[in-house]
Amino acid sequence: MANMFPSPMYGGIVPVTPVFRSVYAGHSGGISVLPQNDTPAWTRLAVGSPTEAVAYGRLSIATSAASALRYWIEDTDLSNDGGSVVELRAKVTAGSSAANTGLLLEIKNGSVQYVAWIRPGGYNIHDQPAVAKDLTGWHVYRLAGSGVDCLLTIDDAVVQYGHANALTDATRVGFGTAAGYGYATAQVDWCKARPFYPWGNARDGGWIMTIGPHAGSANIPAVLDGSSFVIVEVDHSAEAVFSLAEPPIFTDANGDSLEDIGIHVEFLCDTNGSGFKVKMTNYSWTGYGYPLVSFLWTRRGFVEV
Amino acid sequence: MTEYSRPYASVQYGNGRRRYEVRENDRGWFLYYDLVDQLKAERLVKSAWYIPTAMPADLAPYTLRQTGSDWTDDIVPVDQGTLKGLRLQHYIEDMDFMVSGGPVSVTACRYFYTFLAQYPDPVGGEWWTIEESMKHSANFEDYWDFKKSADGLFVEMIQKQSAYGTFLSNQPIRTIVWFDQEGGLCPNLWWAFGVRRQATADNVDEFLKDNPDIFEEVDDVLCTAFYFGGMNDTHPHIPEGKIYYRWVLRVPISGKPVLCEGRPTAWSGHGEEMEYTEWQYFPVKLEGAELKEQTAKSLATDGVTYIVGVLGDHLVVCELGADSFAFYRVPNAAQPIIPNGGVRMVNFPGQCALWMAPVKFDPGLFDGANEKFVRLRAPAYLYPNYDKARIGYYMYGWTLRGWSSATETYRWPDTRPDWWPPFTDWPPKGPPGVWPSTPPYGWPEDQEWPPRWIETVENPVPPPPTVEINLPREVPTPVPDHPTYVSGGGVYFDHWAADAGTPPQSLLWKLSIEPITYNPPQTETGRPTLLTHTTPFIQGVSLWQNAVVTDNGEDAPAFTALPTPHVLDIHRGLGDMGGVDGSYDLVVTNREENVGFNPATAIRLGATMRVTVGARMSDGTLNSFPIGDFVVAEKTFTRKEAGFTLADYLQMLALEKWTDGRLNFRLWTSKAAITWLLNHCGFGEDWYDLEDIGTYLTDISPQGNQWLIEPGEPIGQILAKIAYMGQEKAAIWCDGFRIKTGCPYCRTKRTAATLFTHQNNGWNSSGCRAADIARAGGEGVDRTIIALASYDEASLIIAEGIDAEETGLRSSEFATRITIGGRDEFGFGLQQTLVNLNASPTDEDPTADYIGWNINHYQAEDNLKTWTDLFSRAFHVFHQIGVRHLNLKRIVLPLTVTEDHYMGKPAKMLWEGDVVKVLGGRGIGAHGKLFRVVQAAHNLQEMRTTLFVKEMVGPYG
Repeated sequence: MANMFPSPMYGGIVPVTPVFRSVYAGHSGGISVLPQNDTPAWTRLAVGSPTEAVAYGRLSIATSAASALRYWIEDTDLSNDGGSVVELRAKVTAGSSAANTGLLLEIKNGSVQYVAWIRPGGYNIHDQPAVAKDLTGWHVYRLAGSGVDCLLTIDDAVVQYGHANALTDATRVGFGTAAGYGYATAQVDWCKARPFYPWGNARDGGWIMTIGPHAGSANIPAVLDGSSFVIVEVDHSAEAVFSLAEPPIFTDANGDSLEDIGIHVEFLCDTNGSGFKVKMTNYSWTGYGYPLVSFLWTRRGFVEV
Repeated sequence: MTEYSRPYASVQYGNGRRRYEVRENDRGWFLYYDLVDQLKAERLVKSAWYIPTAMPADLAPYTLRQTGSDWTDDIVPVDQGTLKGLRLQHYIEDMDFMVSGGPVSVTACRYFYTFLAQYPDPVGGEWWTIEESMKHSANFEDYWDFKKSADGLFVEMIQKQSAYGTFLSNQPIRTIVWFDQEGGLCPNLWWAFGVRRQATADNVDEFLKDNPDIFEEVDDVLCTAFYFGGMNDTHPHIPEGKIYYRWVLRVPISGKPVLCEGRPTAWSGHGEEMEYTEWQYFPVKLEGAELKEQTAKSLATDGVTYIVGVLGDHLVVCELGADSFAFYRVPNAAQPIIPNGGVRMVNFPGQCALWMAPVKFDPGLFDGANEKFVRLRAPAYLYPNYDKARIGYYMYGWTLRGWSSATETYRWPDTRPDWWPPFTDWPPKGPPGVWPSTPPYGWPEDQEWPPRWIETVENPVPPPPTVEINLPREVPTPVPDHPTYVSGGGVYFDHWAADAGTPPQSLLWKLSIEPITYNPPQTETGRPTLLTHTTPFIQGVSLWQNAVVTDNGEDAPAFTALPTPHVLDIHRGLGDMGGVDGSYDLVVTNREENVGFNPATAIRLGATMRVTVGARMSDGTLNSFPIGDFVVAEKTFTRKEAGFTLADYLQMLALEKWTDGRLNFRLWTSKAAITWLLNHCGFGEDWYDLEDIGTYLTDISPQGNQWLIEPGEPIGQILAKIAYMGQEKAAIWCDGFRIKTGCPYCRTKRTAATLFTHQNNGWNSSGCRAADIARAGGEGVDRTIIALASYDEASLIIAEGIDAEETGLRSSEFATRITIGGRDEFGFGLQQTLVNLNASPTDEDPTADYIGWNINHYQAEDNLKTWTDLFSRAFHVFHQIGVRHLNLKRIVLPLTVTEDHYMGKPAKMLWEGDVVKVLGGRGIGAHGKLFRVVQAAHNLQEMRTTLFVKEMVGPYG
């Protein structure tokens, strides 16, 4: 009884940490809402005629082989270096059964994306082996990723380690089903995401790096039928070895326009982590003779450490 | 102008739904959990780490490898006396690993810490630093070795020399290792120190014998001293270049460690210019677990490691590996108990191995993806259901979360009052804005604590010299705090349905706790920061489900007119703890010949009765107003008449008892608590009108149960308790339509700014008078009562009779001594007694205050924890009943729906809180005085109003 400030330094109400910045809890303003009606609203991606409903703060969705329904929200707090966590409480009562299908849970952290799949009879991190487990009851799924690695927990127990499955510039979290990746009938209690706690250490699993631009040049014999080519090999292993790399980007180095002289650049399939090859074919008028092609290349991906 | 003809009353009844209600599935509930009790009863699950035995060395610091093949709890209960709550598990981590994540070429402690060896001047005794012992010296390694400790947790910093040769003698060496950094270390720091003594110099005893003065100069003689909580010259009273430490743990060569508190003992200057020129350490009593007694042998063989830290308002000490703490509940120092300065180890005399490192609360290996939590083990089933959209929750405890720039909080201002004793550092212990119950060190023996009154804005009326009352000095207003660099320390709370019902019938919850990390950037040096840490200390969780109040519409009961009442008797007054003090009786015809309508059978219990009163004017028009919607609480009837006992809304809440869980309004604002309860009982916003004076329902008991309400207590009683005990003696009453809180005298809604003007002079307080004038105009008189008809024949307000009294028989009415009892956070009783000294000296004047006998009023309120609370209540009560006053216990008037014959104003009844002025009545001493209405009874049948009024006086006139 006093005009006293109930500061938690003196024993008071401990402030709740808004560490989960992106939260869909099934309700807003005291009533149940669909994700697209939440504040802030989640983006809804629907294919075909999925069903959705919310009651008592629980979202129900049902998709089929011909439909998909996914919700996502932008979350710029997520980063690859800082680590990201998305948590979902859900039950999946029906759906597809193959690996890499079912109810998905995804993080896109501005560099890579991690995806976990949940099915009535099992789960897997994308491209990891499918693990059989009855998931038709309520469980809390947590997908956490940093660097190239991620892990999936079910009810706080780690059930699978895996890796990022794609590079991305987007920062978002999402859940639902995706066209071409199976279907599910599920209920969702909440979905929420946060960066790793500031007191946690990000795992030393590698980081995104761009090398280049580096200049190169090649002489290509002049012929009319386009069968004249050279294969340029670039070895950048002295600089970096990528574990998950984008193809190199080629650009004109000196402004004489690669197009005008009719050069076709083709990345050969062995663009491996330590280097790459390109095939450059001359389609130019023969009067050009042996064109000297000056180019720049850059490459981006996870550096292996 | 039409004239008053006769009184008028009409009643409508409505059997329909009440306007506001809570339907069955919309009901709310409240649960409070004491976390330690729950954990001890195995009702919570804790998160834990499993540390595999085969964890490779490069993936984990030694401390985790040591605990391999074991589960380590994240959260640990502490239950030692007043030390009760949950803390995070602490870890000692190899500092090299902590800083670099792997092997290092230069050990981290050598990088971060500063090293010194000193010797006493053989002539003057002054301590001289040996240059070779410092890091920049080429001979540094002659003095120091760095070696990983056997347990792998620390790097031992071994000072190899025992004596320093001077031209006169070999002098014994004092070894110092200290650490500070830009921005300091974590407030309420957790830190580990350790020592193993080596051989001592042969001539130490001789030296000490020859230099007895050294004992007066040095705090650290013959012991290893761990200083922590450094305060440097950024402190307003610490001289430039000086560092004083708030605490030191002394480990003597033989004996038990002693915790000492640092305090100033000499100073120069005054006020803001004051500087502490001397600082000494005084032992304090450790409670709880006993720290082991050390011997020269034990210190020289195994050595010892201590961990110090803070849990809540306790400073805790334990030996490495111990399960329980020795602790000191700090009575006289502000938070943070350990200031955010550096640490220092001092060993004297001889060679020694010292080690120290920050204590962590997270192993830091698992990506920060994990949470440290406790979770309800089994679902809580609730009546009627769980609806997560309507849930609110609070977590209670101590943390530094509010000590970050992100969530601004409040602290005492830097400026110390001039009269604050220089022996005690400023600020005082406890929440800013209230004086603590323990007087500061050095408080003058001839002055009482809290100190005596000085004039403030809140206490503008000085007490006359003849009235002895104790008034605290002005308490400085708290100021916003803007510290930075603290991260973590918050909590996160999850709750979810535990069953698949629609709606769900049960819930589970999870409470996650964050460690606290202090990370000041090293902008000047560019060096890395050594992260330091502390832990929150969490006691309890409350969560509640808000009720949904359905508004059926203003006319939902569908009112129908009743026959003109035979009797309408309305009585309402002030109770000392709220206003469940009224009665409303209605009698109407019930003759059977009213075919098709007999009120006794046609009106249901719980129906709403809308009552309108006023006057029929001479031209037949009505001047009337509704006085309330009442509830039919009882029916008594004969074949001729039907009687209805009506109740107002507040009276109905006396019937509704709390049954919906463990209710605990700890640290709610009083208004929020009252509002929540009213909503819980189905009161919509048009059914209440509450004052907001910003008071919190504070609770600083270790149990946190001051505002815990047991099931079975009537809601009306809970409301009155909150209003009186938690909202500065507020009155709570129903004005017929709404439940209101406000000033117990004038019934105005007070604010934090006007609060004290409503208690500075009892029934005649300045704020009440201002409100009277605003309400009634003129001199603030609602009605003038003519005690003698010859004063004003035109007036209708001519008293038929006035009975007066002065009483000394009821100590709640008048007392010469008023004592208020409270209880501070240590459990000590606090008592404040105010005495009307005018009542003591013999004075035969019949109007004098002299009584000649003590009439004592005692009032115990354990929720009053501080002198400020206690004073406020004593001041209020003393002003209310500490002065003799005249009661006019029965003034019988014509029905007061009007002021005079002509009724220039709308009809209005006199109610409690209004002011009447009495003209005439010299024989009873009432003439010309103002009186405040305490009770008003209006009888429509007899056209009579009866008042009970109190003379509007206070101690200051």
